[in-house]
Amino acid sequence: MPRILVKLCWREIRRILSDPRIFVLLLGGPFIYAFVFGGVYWQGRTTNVPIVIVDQDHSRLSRELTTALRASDSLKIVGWANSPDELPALARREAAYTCVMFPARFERDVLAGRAPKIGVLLDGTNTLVSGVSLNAIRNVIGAYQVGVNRRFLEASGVPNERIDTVSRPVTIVGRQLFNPTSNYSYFLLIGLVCAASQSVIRMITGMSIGLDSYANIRREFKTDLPGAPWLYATKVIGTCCLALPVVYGATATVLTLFGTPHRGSLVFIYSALTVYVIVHVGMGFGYYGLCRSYILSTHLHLFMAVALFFLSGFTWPYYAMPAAVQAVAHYIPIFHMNCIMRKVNMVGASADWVLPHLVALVIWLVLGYTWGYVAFKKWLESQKALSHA
Amino acid sequence: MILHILRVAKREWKWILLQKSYLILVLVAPILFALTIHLIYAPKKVVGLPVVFVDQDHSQLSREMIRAVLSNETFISAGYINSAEEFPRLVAEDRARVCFTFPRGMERDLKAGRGGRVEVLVDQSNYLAGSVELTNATLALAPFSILADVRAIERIKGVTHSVALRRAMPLDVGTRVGFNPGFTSNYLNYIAVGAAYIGLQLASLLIAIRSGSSEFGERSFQPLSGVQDHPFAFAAGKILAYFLPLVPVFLAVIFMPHLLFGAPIVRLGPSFWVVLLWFPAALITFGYGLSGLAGDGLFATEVCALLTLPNFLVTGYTWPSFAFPKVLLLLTYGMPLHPLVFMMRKITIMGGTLADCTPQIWCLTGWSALAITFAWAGTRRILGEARIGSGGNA
Repeated sequence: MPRILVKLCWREIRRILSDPRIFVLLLGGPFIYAFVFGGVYWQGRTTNVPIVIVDQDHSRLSRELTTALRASDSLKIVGWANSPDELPALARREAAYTCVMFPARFERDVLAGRAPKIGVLLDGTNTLVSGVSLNAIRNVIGAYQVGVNRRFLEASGVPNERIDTVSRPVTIVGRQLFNPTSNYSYFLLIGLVCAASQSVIRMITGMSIGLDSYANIRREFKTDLPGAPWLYATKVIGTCCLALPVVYGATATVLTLFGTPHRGSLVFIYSALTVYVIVHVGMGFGYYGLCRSYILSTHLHLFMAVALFFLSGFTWPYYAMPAAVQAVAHYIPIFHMNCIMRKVNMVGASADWVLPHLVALVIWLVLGYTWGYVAFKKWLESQKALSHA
Repeated sequence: MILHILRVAKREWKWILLQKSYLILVLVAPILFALTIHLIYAPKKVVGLPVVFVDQDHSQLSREMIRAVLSNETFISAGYINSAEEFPRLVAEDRARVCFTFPRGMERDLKAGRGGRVEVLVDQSNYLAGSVELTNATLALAPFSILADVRAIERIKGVTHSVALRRAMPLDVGTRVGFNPGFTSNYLNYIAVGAAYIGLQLASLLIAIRSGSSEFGERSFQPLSGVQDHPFAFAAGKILAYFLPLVPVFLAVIFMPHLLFGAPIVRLGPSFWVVLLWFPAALITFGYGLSGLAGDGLFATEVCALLTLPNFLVTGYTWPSFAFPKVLLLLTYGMPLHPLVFMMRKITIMGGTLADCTPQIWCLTGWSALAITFAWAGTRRILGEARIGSGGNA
């Protein structure tokens, strides 16, 4: 009995390896994600946002501020415009996304203590870009504000050693924990690999069962075949034997090659990944049973892949979603896997800190495996009926 | 010719109606997909983040600062803790996202002119929430610094409050945001609108992905009588059959954020209609051609999976293309979703026209050329096999 089980597992592995349509997708999916996005987010943060300057003052102060803006690596001055009205056209042509305007009599108003306004016009269609440029501009202008304030206090006879505390009496020190450089790659990459693994495993499982038949199994094994639970188990083990190294490898690539921090236990991360892979193999069978066609189930997974990633709360935080959507998010396995990944890797959480997510994954393991078994049993019965006919 | 096209289209519809589940999935999934994405981003901005306080000062000032923080809609109180060291665990347990630490003697130091210091610990493991947290924490506390400065200036110079305020803030930044009027990190008008197009791209490719491959045996009950010698009519009829049901889906998805969630649509000129018709036509043609050329629906679907899965994040819609490494820039412009999301953004949100979309027009032209080549080769293969199948007498 154990011998035939090993043979059935080996058969499953052989089938996947010998069908390039399945194997290439399994191997390609998670690794393509890791490498493509690791490359795309290589810089880690957005730099050199193209901006234009509208200088209606032509004063020394406006030129100094322009030089200071140029020195910021977040911004890149691509030219001068006559009016901020030119920005919409420039933004539409992807030539510039922000316009900084120094109004006429700007320097004179500063010297007269009239607090003039520097106009900043932003292209709000990409919040990431506008946020980066606005922060950089505020930092540069904030430094000048403090500088002007210091000179004024100096002129008022405030002793030099007290000027800093008088000009900015309350210092707000922001510390960005767990991702101090606000690296976009650390934030996103590991979640993308989990999302790709989910879709690819479900797809290949559907294809693998869809391209198999009971008649083929019978033809290959002349002896009595084990019952449906054992046959199902061999298929799950066979698929996992190939899926697990791929998912482990893609995760290791993200953690080592692309430098995503891992502060928690790697053993814990890989254990959670193992459960996650088995859950999706089971669900792959389940979805195939629902669709009764491997192409249809592949189409379904393609539509679901991105929606589930967004729903997992990895980018837009789940706690900012409407309550009903949040509830749905809590019922999908990728939500819990992504929470474990982020909390263990980045926050350094131990198992007891993420216990609810762990429990949810284990519940999904039981549900996914059972659902897959029910679908497999139906498939087996229909196949037997077909072979008898 | 038109009669031939219509005959092929009719033949295709007959076949589609036998495969209802495929049709329903491809027509309904993009709408459900868009609805899900819009619902996720419906709150438009991140609010109600739980914050904890380490108040080692227990002064009137620290209490005032806490009140100021909690009056900002971004934050809600999750209570007080003894030390900032407890914060990581609270983050992992989803009980806190920000921690404010008011050190002992802060008010006393401030009154003595020694300056005070407030520490703000932010959970930056989610970049998006972390940015919102830090910006709002600074916004809530900055007025205290300015006000203390204003009081000092009032005392030193004996000037009025308004003059002192101008002295304390000698430069001011006036911000105006174009194209996203509800901007306070409004993500509904930004990501959701673009992400909804992922479903449209998938539907355009997948709707026709079995139309060519199914001709190799699967459709022996549907003879090709009369159209074997009209390859153009054969291909055009097939593309038309899939194009017509898809256009209403495109309209539903594009107008959904506007009608249900209040996202702006600034312009709907001829440019909009050109993109609306061109993109699905090009991708359906590509899907059909690929299917015919591959002769295998699964293989063709897999090619589509490779093209579409990483697509959205590589298009430059979220992470901007100018921040891409130069070697990967080609990937951005090479993705079929790139022209759709950018052209639609430029036209419907930014009020532009096709004249503003030169790079995207080149991309879509490239994809169209590839699609036509595939469709031509796929049709030749299908009709060639049909001739062989019928003994060359067709």
